Amino acid sequence: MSENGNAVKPPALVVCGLRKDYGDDTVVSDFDFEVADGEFVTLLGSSGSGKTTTLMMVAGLVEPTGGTIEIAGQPVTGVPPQRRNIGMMFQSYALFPHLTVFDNVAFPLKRRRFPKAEISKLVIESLERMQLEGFGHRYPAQLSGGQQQRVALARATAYEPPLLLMDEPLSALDRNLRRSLQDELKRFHRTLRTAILYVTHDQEEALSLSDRVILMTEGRVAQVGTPQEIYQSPRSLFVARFLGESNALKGEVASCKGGEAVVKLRNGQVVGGTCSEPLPAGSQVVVVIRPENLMAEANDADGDGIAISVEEISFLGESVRCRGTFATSEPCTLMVGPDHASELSVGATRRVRWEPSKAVVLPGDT
Amino acid sequence: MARKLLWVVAAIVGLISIAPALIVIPYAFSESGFLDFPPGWGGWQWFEKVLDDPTWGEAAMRSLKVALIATGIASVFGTAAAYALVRARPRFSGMIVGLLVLPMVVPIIIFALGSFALGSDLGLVGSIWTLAIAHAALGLPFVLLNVRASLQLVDPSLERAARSLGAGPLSAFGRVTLPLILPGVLSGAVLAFVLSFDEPVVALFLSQDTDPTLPVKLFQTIRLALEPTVAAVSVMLLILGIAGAALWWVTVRFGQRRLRAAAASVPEGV
Repeated sequence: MSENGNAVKPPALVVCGLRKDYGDDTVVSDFDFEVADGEFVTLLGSSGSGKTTTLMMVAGLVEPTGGTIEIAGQPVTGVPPQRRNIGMMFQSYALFPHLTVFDNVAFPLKRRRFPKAEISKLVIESLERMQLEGFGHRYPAQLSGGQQQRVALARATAYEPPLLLMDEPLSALDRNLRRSLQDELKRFHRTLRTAILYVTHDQEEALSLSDRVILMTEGRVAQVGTPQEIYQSPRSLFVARFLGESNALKGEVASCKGGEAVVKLRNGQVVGGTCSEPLPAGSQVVVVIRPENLMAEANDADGDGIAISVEEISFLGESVRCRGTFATSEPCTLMVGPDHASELSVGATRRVRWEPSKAVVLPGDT
Repeated sequence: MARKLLWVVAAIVGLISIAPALIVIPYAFSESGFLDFPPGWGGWQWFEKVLDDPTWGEAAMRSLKVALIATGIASVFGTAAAYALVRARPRFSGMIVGLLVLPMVVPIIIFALGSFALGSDLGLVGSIWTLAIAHAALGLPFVLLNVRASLQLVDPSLERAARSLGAGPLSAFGRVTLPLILPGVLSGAVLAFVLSFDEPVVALFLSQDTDPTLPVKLFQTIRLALEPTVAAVSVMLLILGIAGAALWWVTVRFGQRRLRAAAASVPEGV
């Protein structure tokens, strides 16, 4: 989301105080966010987190209970979907099966009453950009999954909308196809620089595609940040658990100064970590460490770090995953490079350490 | 052996089901003015008599008009009802379907009596519109059930996609959903048309003796005299019916291809 250097463009999307109630059920509440021009933002959340409802409200397909939405500087609250000038991609692409590829891509242009010559020029350009030359006369059913995605992209971008909405376009596909289509989406975003609001429940997809991720839970924002920020500095246990694996050690604050906290664990040992807010001494906290940030060493009695007993080792190719139990009798997961795997063996006791900067101390005790 | 037996059974069943329709053919070419057996060969005289008598043509036109109006009403409202039931999923949708399908289940004589009672209370008996509306109610279940079945195979996000791409609600329905469910609408409409065109009971109650529909006219003629003209009309209707069945078969075939194509559009792999 870097500044593009040219004249200041309004953000592709500004959402302010968005809210949706279904009867007594609040699906989305107090939701504010922005998508800058050219930015790729993902709404990430499990089902029922309100992410799809939010997308549908931006599209105009669901009416918000409250709040405002602006697309490219234009307020669109109350504007029907066909006049919002957005592009949208759906799960399984929603290509029109009774229309040819050409007519699918021409559909939005015809609805906008472009002149005929202009339509065929734009469609041909759009198909060329997606490397679909010569596919114009085919029907969607005659295309592969990758080609279908490109047709859907061509259709949603032929009229150069300032904002593209994507509703889990890849979630119905198998893993390998998903990977290659993710790469293609990234390439597409890099070349076109259209702002994208993407919805998914797949954290890997969110991390690998987005400039920024908005993690949602129960209709609210859990955390907003770049994929790195959100993965490395989760601001709550929910975020830490939602994104990847993490180890959680309960304890109470011994001291906290300048963003560094010292925590006394349940077995009386004292460990270090970072905290984003001052924590009162004696308060209940959880120390969260990613499995790859744990370093295993021989169990010297005088070394620092915590003892673990190794219970299970699985070789994953590029890394080795080890499950065990901390001396505090909390479960432990670590990932090490295959070179270090020889230091671990089932049944052994080892000592794990971590850089305090790589451990996050979060208030709470669950 | 068992296979041969099955063939025999099938042949008997087939024969019994079409025999009453086929038996009229020789009588249509009968020599005498009564339905005698054997009919003998009298040439095309009865066909000529039917064609010379304008009341047959008028009755046929009346039936055609009623059937077309009834089909139009049943198609529009049946499609709309199916759309609402599948897409909006109202509460008690099962009950609503049950109610709308009721004319299919209620004995036709009861339905006819009810329409007559209602029609005469409102002073509407004798108008082809009243009859057409009653027939539309009879035909609606066929449209509803056919359209509902094809609508259930159409991905609802197609219409949302159309909306996001710049189509208004009506345009999205007309350009995306309707073409995809058209085979269902058409086959429902064909059934509704046939149902109305040769429906005698309701028509008997709701039309005047002086301007009957074709089935009513047939009934009146049979009651007066068993003339071979009736057989000649039957043969004409038989040919029309076969043509109709062929049309229906074609729309169904066409529909299956459409729906298969739609189902196959779910991506399968690179």
